[in-house]
Amino acid sequence: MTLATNQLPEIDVEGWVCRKCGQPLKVSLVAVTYMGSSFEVELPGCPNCGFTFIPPVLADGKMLEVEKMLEDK
Amino acid sequence: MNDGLIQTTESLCPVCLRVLPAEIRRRGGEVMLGRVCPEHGRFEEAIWRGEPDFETWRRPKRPAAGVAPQQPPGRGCPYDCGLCPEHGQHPCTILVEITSHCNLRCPVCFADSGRGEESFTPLATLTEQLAWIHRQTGREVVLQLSGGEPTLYPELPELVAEGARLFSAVQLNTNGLKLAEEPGLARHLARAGLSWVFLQFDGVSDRVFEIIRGRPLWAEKKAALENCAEAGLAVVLVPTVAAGVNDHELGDLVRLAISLPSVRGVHIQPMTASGRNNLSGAAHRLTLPEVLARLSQQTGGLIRPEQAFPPGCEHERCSFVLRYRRTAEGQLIPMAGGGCGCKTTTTPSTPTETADNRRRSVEVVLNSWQGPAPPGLTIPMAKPAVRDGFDEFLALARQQTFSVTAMAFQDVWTVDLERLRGCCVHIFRPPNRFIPFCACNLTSAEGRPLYR
Repeated sequence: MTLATNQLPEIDVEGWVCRKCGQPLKVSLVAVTYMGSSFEVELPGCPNCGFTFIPPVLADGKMLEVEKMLEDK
Repeated sequence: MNDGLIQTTESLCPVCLRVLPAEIRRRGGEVMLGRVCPEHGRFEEAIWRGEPDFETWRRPKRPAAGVAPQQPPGRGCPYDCGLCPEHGQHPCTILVEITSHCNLRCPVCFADSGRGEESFTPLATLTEQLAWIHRQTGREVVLQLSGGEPTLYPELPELVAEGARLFSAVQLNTNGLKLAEEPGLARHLARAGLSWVFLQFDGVSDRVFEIIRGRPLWAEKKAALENCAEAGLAVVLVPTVAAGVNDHELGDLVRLAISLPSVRGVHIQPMTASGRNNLSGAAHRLTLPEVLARLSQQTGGLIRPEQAFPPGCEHERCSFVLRYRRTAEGQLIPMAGGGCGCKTTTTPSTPTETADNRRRSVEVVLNSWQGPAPPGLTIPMAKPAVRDGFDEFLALARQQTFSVTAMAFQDVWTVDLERLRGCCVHIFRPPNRFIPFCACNLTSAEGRPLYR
């Protein structure tokens, strides 16, 4: 399954710094995989170590919804 | 596994319906439920045959307190259902029998419908009943409209609309004959807010329908499926399965379901001896592992027993769940629970909270069985939804989710009061009682009902 690449809006990375590397976060394409399906979304991350920051709005929103889809009964 | 006692529980004498201490014992490849009535002697019935092992099929739950409504204790379980204070689970599904009319006279009917004493409850009365149910349960319940045959109810779309306003989902339990005859009915019901159709669908040949429903119905079933698909109405195929009658068609039935995008799953109900039934003998019984084995054999391993997991809402021994994503090529990719490397639910060390599981169970059922919004029926959003990879994944996952589930209803030969107290599928009995499904339909060996 191939899905379009798109940007999550309104993620303000201003002022966020990677704790490990001290680098300011930059928005870049991140591959997300669920159930054998992969897609890419633009997320802030550290340009040095690649650690990705998942904003609360995403974790508590669409990611939670995806997890619920995958939940058992 | 060694032979011997696995656990004790309580059951009923099949003849006099008195409560008896019971033992669950392994004997060879079978797990038996046995008890002795001082008046009518010893009774023993197989409740589990095959893999997964009975002993490993666990999903313990902490009993839910404060189940409403409370009936005062009297003679004790299972005589005071309503629910009584001994009950340990909230309802996640409430079944309302809106008519006793039926357009079939099946040799097999747990509700024993179509006896010539038919009536329609007035819409105003049913609306009041739904409001009363809502006051007890809140919104997070699946409302099942049943009968008799509920599509014969003259104001069904109005009732569906009221149910959709009050509850998380509205399910219609139907034989599909009216949906086949009147293409407009499916559209009316979809517009009224029906969530999905639970379509009686015992097999893929007329021979099977002749035996179980008393006449050939294959053409009508196909027409009902087509009309639902055209109306954008999601469907779950519901076969009642008896060994030696239609268990050989399970694989073909699943393959048919996979091939139809509007069909969201197959929900298998092994035959029980409750109500009217000429196929109630032990030779026709199927336990849950036997259903899994047939599914595996008949689908060439597309479905595998190890992918199944016990339910999070009803008692663990009452059902199994298989959830997949179906591909355009007809393959099934396991989702949660099993076969995907993230199985976590088979043997939890601590009981999970029942009240929370009910909420989750309703959500999961909605995700599994509710179709994507029918064309032309999408409610415009005030603000357009943002489209990104997550949105698209969610939309596709909703379209592609496919489940195979089975629910082993209990009859007087297999009834286990521990399971009954863990039941979350309740029949509403006016004016103010919720009765666990299997207790409500249970009849003695001589046909004497416990409740009806």
